[in-house]
Amino acid sequence: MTKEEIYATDIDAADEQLLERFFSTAQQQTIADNGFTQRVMRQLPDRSLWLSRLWTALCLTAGIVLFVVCKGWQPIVAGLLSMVHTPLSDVHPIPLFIAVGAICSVVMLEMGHQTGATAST
Amino acid sequence: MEALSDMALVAQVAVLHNNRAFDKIVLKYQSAVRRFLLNLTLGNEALSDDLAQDTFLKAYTHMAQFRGTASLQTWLFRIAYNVFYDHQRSQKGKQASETLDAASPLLGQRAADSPKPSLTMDIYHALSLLKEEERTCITLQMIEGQPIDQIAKVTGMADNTVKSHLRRGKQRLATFLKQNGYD
Repeated sequence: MTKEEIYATDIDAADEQLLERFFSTAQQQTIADNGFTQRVMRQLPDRSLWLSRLWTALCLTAGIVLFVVCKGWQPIVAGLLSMVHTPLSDVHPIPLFIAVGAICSVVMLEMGHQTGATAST
Repeated sequence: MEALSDMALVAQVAVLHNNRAFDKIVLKYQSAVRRFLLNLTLGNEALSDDLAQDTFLKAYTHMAQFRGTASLQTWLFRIAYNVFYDHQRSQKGKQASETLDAASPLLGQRAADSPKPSLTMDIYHALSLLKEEERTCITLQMIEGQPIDQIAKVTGMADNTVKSHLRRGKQRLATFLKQNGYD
């Protein structure tokens, strides 16, 4: 087989016309969408969830860094020590209510976030 | 003009993650990509639609890599071709020809969209006589109307290799058609 024969794509003109006629129907074939685009769009990766996770990780890291830099454990230890040394009858109820309320709020927010994430997937 | 509008859509998807822009891209090119894969899978509609979905999902996640040196359609065809061959390779471990043989009962399932169902079946039958590379090149040129340099970009073959596959494929098809009374 010569180089020209290898590189040639032209076949007999009559054969070429025969093939063009044969494939003309397939050339005109248009496939209706029939919900295909919607199916693809539903399967796209959820970037908003990814961004939300990234934001949470960044905030957590910043919180830990600030806690260490500002020696956040010192007031906690001091508070715990003072509580230990304070008689129970002297504890004021208002700070107790605030602490319990704050903890409940955080738990409820986290539960709401988890429910929303499950529903979106 | 069309290339500019495609580039604008691509930029919106790649930079702003604009899903509406991607929706327009899928809507515009779904027919060509699904038809290309339908011919590669010899009319297996379910398989070609699955592969087309994978193609568009890959296009979405790699949209930032589109450089615009070829048309968006050529780029999508290249992804579709890679998705199809990845699938073929994974199937070869199980049973080499089962995938395409399994397409036979599905031949003509697309008949509702085609004015000549028997001719559609004949096209898939004719394409099944070709080697995979020949079928890809013939499909891209004879059905999708792609020039040789674009076929080379889609398949990653050299221009001369594409020409060689086209010549052999056409000769094989012409012989088959003549033997079946098409001339």
